[in-house]
Amino acid sequence: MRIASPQALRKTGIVGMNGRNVSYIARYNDRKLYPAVDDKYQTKVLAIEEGIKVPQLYGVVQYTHQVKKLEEMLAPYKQFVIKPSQGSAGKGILVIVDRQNDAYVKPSGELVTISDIRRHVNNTLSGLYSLGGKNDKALIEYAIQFTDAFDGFSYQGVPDVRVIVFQGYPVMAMMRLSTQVSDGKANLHQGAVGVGIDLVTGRARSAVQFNRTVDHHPDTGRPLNELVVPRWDELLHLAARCYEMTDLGYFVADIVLDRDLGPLILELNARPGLAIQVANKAGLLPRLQRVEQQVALRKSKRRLPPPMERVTFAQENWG
Amino acid sequence: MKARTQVYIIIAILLVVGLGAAAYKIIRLDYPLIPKDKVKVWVIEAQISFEATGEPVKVSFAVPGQQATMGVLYEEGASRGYGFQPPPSLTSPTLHRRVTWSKDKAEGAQTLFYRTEVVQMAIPGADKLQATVEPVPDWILEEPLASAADSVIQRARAASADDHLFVEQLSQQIGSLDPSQEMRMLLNGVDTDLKKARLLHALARKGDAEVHLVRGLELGESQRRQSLVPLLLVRQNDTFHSVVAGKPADSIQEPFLAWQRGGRSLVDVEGGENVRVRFSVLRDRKPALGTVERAAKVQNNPWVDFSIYSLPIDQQNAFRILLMVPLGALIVVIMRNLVGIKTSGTFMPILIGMAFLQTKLIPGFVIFFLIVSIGLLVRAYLSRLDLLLVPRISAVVIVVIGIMALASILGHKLDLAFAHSVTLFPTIILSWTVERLSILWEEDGGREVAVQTGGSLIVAVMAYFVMGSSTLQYITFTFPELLLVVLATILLLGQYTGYRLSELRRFEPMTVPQEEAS
Repeated sequence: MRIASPQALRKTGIVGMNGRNVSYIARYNDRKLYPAVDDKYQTKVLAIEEGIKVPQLYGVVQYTHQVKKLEEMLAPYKQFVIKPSQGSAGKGILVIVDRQNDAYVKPSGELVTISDIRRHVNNTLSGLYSLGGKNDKALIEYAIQFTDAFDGFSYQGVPDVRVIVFQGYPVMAMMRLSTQVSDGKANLHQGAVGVGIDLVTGRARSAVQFNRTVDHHPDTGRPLNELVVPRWDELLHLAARCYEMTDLGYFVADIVLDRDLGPLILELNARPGLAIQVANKAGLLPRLQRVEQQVALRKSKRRLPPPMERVTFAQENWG
Repeated sequence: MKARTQVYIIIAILLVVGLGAAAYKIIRLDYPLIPKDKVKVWVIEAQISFEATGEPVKVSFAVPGQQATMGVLYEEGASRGYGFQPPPSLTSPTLHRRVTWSKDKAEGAQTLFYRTEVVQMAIPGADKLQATVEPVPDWILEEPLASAADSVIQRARAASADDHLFVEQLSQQIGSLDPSQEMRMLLNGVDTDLKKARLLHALARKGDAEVHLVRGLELGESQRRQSLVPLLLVRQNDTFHSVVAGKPADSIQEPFLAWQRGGRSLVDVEGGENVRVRFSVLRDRKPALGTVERAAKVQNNPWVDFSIYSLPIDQQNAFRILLMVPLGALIVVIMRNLVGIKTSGTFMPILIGMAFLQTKLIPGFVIFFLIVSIGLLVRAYLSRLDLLLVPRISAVVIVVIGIMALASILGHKLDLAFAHSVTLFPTIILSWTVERLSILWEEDGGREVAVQTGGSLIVAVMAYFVMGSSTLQYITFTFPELLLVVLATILLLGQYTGYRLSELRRFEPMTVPQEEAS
């Protein structure tokens, strides 16, 4: 087992867990702002107010008596997603892609009835899928239409892009590709592939699985250097705008690409992981320090540059 | 003021106060920082059993206090279901210490325990309490015993120069294989050691010697069943000599703990019959905890008067473990933030470590693995039933408690030692562990459970060794102000933004020269 010296890590600019917690999360993220990102419903409401693109919210079920009206609520939609507002790790997400007579079709082709869906929503409300078993809300929203840009890059599910945003500036981006080993999950420590994305072009720059460099997707064999995220500038712009929306100084935006609507904010997280550094083969520290410098300069003018300018700054510095 | 500056000021204050107070104690009050020697201590358990008759029960029991050569370190007697009146404080000038248990109503076999821990050491001033001498008992002043006694006393006085030898003479006559006519009359019906001692006491008092009847234990090796040995203490000028009625002068070899002094009974039970008292003695070696040595200084120094040593002993015992918790916390901080070991729950490792302290390490491990695996299996099944989280976890906890009860009963029937260690405290901690691990399984999967359980156990074992160390226990107990230093260290570690040991491994691939990136 090889171990790096702390000096070597510092030279590479790696931010460790302690550094992240003390110097960034504790310093830049006000605790009272957390509920706005921990609860996807609140995030969505905020995003809609700010005009930030999110998957359209078809409806919310908050109380048991509303479950009776579920069929009515779902009537206009052929495709939709039902998810817990405070769910974690993708649990409790029900995707419906079509209808056959009275039945609903899941992506696997399995049919479910309205009473199955009611039971699912009831379970969601009582907290079956939520952190700590708290009572929860069920969100009914637009089902993402996959773009074919990522065909062959994912084992299951839709790959998402994570962008770390520090004081409004996008500083690093990564794509997470689920694999068979990761059981379709997007968690890097479970075996998903992390792909560092170039901030200028939206192209893959390096990829890792289990901390080791990989060139091809382990299941599909597709070369990862062919991966390009379309509408990349638009995506970064969207991520940067979330700063104005939440006031969180240090967060990660999870963004999905819709075939027709382009990038949409899926959720925000105020405790971004550190794996993004491994995927990019680059440390966060120099970038975060560069932003701190830049903000200190700007402070005198008391003006935050518009999001597009911040994206340009990032691309000029770390492209 | 910046948060960082504030933290450093607090740390500085804590260090000055903590180290200053400890230094004052070490330099000015002569407290030894490290316990110098291990000393022999004896843990004595008295078991009082009786048949309750269904009426209100009141049990009064004589217990030992500080003595010229024996110090009491610890005592406890609370019994479940009984109101307990603890003995007067060890420093209060009473010779006859007694504890009382009482209960509104009890029926059937009852057992009460009293446990004390003593150490052999000189206690200055402890023998001054023996000033009161009991009067000559009435029965020996009545004829025909009075004149028989007088002639025995006269003969003994004639053959001895001082009080001590006089009592020795009497003792020899009591133990003689061929006693005189008068002695035979006095010995009529005197068949036990205790009765012999009473007779010797009465004779010696009638002969004007200052003697005290004492019942106590000879503290040798560990012994399951021991009975009280009666002996007499004879005052010769300013020293006391012990004499055992009917035995040679040097019959007491081992250190002697006087359990009860004076003529009152050892135990009085109201509302009970067939009273039996049994003693068991366990010998142990421990660092000289200094409790007793300190006592004299405590009384004169207002600073020390606020120390933990001024608390009643049962409260001191609670603190003995509580004061170790900060050290456990320090270990958790180091292992999590400097080493980067994942544990489930921040302080659960400390609690598991404390449970191990009660169960001992190996049985603790066995119980831990048994209970946690069964609990998680049950959880795995329950999660298939689509139950809600809280009922599901509650069901797991109930099953865990059931398993522990079963293990206890089985162990008791099969006489396995570990079963006795399954007490309330570990039960609660284990149930809680299973609950936490179940939640973890729900949220992060089985792999994470394995990682965090392993991490928790490693930290728990370290906490077990640190919290169980008798040297550290001595130090935190004698210098609780050093815990401020621990607090300062933890605050300082809270500022640490460097890498964790585990991260040196995790990010190692990033420091090697970049391979050809895609």
